[in-house]
Amino acid sequence: MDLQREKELVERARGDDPDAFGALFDEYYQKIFGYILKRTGVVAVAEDIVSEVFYKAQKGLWRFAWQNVPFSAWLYRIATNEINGYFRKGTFRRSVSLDALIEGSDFEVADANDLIHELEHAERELEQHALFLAVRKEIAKLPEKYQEVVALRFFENKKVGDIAVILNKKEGTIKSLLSRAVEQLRNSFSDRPASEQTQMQPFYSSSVMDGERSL
Amino acid sequence: MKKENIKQKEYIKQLENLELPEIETPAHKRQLRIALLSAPRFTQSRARRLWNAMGNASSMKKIIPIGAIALVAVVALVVGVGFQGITPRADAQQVTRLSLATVSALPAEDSSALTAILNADPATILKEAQNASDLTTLTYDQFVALYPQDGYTAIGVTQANPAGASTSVAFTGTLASSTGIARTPTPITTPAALQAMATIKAKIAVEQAALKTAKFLQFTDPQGEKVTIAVGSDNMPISINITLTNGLRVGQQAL
Repeated sequence: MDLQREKELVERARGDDPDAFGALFDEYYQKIFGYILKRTGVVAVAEDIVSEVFYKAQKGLWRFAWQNVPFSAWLYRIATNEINGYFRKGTFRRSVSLDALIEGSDFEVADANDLIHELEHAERELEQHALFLAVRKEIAKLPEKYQEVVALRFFENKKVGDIAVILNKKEGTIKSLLSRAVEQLRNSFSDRPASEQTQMQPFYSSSVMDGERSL
Repeated sequence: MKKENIKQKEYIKQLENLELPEIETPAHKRQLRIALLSAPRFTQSRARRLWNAMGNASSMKKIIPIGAIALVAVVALVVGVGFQGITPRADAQQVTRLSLATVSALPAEDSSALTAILNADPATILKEAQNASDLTTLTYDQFVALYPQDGYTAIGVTQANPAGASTSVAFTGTLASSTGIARTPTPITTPAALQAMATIKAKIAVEQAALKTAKFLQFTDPQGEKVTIAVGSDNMPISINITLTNGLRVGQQAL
């Protein structure tokens, strides 16, 4: 979505147009959900956090001033804060639940079994990505400031400039954080016990690790 | 040092090439969408209305002294609170807002089916209702009094049109086109669309059977036509009737 279109939708959504907010939701739900899932590694938590993100976005939209910061960057920023909160507390406490939202809306709830089946299916699907989960686990051990930049750079394929906007930091700071984060991550891989190396074979069998051993 | 840089670059490449999970949760997305768009929270708070009324804060700061902003804010707040508290349209606006959110949250096929059944695009009409200065609610008795012959069912009439030819309102969408009401439904052809049509029809039939519990909205649209909308218990529009300026009335097809 181009910035002009996004700006129009934001303005309309701020003016109480549910269609406009719906269009923004449709555009960004999957991206934000994917980001949260890749950071947390738990589908149920990702669903909770993405609900919170959009709820907060909707609630706080009137405060959102368009200053060439894309709406998506704002959503990523909210999501990053919520994820950091989740990691700090070790749990995620929703300020609002989907059930409560639906209840308050007078809207008929669809079959709850659909949600449960979908959740189970998604968890099974995630389990198939063993290498990703192993890498994610290592990333989760890094300090928060490193986790943020690594996830945005490598999971979300964001450019340094975009990450700087999302995290409200200077580009130079992001570059420096990225460099140190990758270095720490690389070290953490080399420290892994041999028993775990099979699971993370691509990272160990690479020229990187081979090169390291030959040094 | 050089070797170290190469290692770092290769490692970055590995991270970039890491296969990522692409997991979708459409049921959760749909539920969340519905919840967000139809929740009363979507309605503007007084503070938000005030903010919007004032325009962008940063630009205001450039042209108006802080004291003036504070004065405007206080006056606007007082007026806003007073106005919101006494407006007779509040109920109609709330019904319209919830109904519009419900319609907006419908999947595309359900939305097309509803448009075809009502012979009008409910989202367009509800948006017109939102902007109408005379938007109000009607009681069931008032609604029935307006349409004594046929109540809530097909509001079709056969009447000479201005050109003298008989206009049979068959509710295929052609009348809406000919009268300039740009709300013509698209043809329903695919199996999924037909299925959606059957589901929506059944749902509306149930709602219409309990019409006394419905909410009724009335307003004048931009073409000057009186529009009446019946809204079911789940905020879904179940009937849309438009009284044209030439005396014709159009509405949804009998189920």
